[in-house]
Amino acid sequence: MNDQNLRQLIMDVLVAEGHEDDDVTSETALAEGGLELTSLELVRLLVSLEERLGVEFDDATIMNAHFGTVDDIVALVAQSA
Amino acid sequence: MTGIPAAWYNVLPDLGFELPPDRPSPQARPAGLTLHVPATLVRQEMNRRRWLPVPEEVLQRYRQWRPTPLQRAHAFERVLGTNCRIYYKYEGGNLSGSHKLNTAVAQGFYYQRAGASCLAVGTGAGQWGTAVAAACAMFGMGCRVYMVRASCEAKPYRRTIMEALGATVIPSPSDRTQAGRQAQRGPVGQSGSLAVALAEALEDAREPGTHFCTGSGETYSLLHQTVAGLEAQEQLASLADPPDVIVASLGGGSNLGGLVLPFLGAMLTGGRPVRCVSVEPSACPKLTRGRYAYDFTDASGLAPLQKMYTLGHAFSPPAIHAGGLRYHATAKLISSLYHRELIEAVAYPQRAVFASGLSFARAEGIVPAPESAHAVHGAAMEALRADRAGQRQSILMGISGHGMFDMAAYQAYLDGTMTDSAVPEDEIARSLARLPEQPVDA
Repeated sequence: MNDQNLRQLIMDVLVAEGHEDDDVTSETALAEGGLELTSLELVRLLVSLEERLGVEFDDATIMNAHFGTVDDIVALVAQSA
Repeated sequence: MTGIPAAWYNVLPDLGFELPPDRPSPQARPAGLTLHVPATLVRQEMNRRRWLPVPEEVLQRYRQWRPTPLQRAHAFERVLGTNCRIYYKYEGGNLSGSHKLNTAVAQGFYYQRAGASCLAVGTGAGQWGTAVAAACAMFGMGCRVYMVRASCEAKPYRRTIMEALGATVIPSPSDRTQAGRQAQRGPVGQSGSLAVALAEALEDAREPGTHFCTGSGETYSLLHQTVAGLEAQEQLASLADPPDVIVASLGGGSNLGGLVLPFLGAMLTGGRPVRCVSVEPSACPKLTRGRYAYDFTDASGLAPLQKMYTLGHAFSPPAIHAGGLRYHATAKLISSLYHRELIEAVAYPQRAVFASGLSFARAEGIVPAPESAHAVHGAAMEALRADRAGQRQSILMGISGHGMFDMAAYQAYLDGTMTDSAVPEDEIARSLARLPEQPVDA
C-alpha cells in the first residue's frame, strides 16, 4: 500500500469512528489544528489500522513514540510491515 | 473445586449498544500525541470477542490468592433474622487487601511489556495505590503514588505498606506539581481530593519512562475484575443457588462491574434474571443524584472527557471514611448500564453503613473496608425488604476488601464522633453548572 492509499485508509477509519471527512496530507497534524484526536482516539485508530492491514504494532514502539502528523503513522506502518 | 478463570469476560458484545466515545478536552492543546496506555489495553476495550485470555504471567500471580472464597453468611443472617440466603465474595485476601490487585497485576504486566519503567498513580483511600505498588514490585517498575492527604493522614499504615513495596508516596495536594500547588489555593485546600491526586499523577508522568496509570474505572479494568464475578458464578452454581440480587459498593465502578457483569451478561443473553444494586454513600451520590453528562475525569481538565454519571469535577464531597467512594463520577460502562436501567442504585449515610459493617464483622469474622460495608448494609436492606414482601431470596454481596487499615474510622464510629453529612441540592447544582460545554451530538 502506498502512502496516499494509507492516508485514505486513515481517513476512512476516522470517518467510520464519527469524524468529519477531510483531506489529509502527510503534514496534517493529528491533534490541535488538524484532526483534533485525543490520545485514546489515536490508539483506537492504530488498532483499527492493525485490523485492516493485518499487522500488529509493538506496544513498546507505540507507547514510546511521539505522534505529531499523519506522516508519523505512515512511518509506523512502514516500520511494522 | 472452583478454578481460576483462564479468560476475562467481555460484556461489550452482549450489551446491544455502544458506549459513548470519549471526547477531546477543550482545555488540552497538545502539539502532538504521546500514548500513556499500552495499546493492548485499548485493544481489549475495542474487542468484540466475549472471552479474552488471561496471559500466563498474570495467571501465575492470580494463583497467589485466587480463587477467592465465597461463603454463606449464616451468622449474619441470624443477626438480621432474615429468611434470605446471603452469600459474600471476599476479595480482601491478597497483599493489597482489596479487589484492586486483580487489574493492577494485569495493567502492570502490560505497562512493563510496553517499556514503562515507572508508574504514577492517584489514589483516594489507598487501595488502588497499594495494588499498583504491589504490581510494580512484581514486574520490576518504580511507582509514585499521589494519595489524598486527608486519607494519608487518617491511614498512616497504608502509606507504610506502599513504601514497603518500594513505592514513593506523596500526600496530595503537594508542592511537586502545578496542579497540587493550584489546588492548595482553592476550595480543596490541604485535605485534597481524588481528582486533584489524579491530576498530580498525570503531570508527574511527563518524566521520561514514567506513565500515568489511570485507575480502576476504565473499561479494561472492569474486564479484568470479571474474574471475581466468574468465580462467584461457578461457586453459586455448585451450590445450586444462583442469586436473585447482587449488591456491591460503587466508587470508580470496577468492584461493582467485576462482580455483576458476568451475571448481567448471562441475563442479557437469555439467562436467569438478576437485579444488580449499586450502593453509594449519601455524601457522594453520583448515580442517585448526579447527571449523565460529559465531564473531566480529573482536576487538570487535560484528559479526554468521558460521558458518565457525575456530580461535577468541581464537586468536593464531605470527608467521609469510605475514601474509595468519594470520586465525583463513575465508570462510563457502569453509567451506561444505569442510564439504560440495567442496574439499580441506592445511597446510604455512613453511620448506618458502619453499624452494618460492625455487625457483619462480629458475626462473620471479617472486618469489611468502609467501602465494602456499603455492600453489607445494602444487602441487609435487600434481605429485610424481601422478608417484608414474603420472598426468600438468594443475595450475593461483594466484600471488596478488608478494613484493617481503617481502624480510625471504626474508632470514630465506636466513640460516637462519626457524623453523617447531607449534601445540599444547591451544592450539587453549583458543581454541575461548571460541567464543560456538552458536545452537540451528546
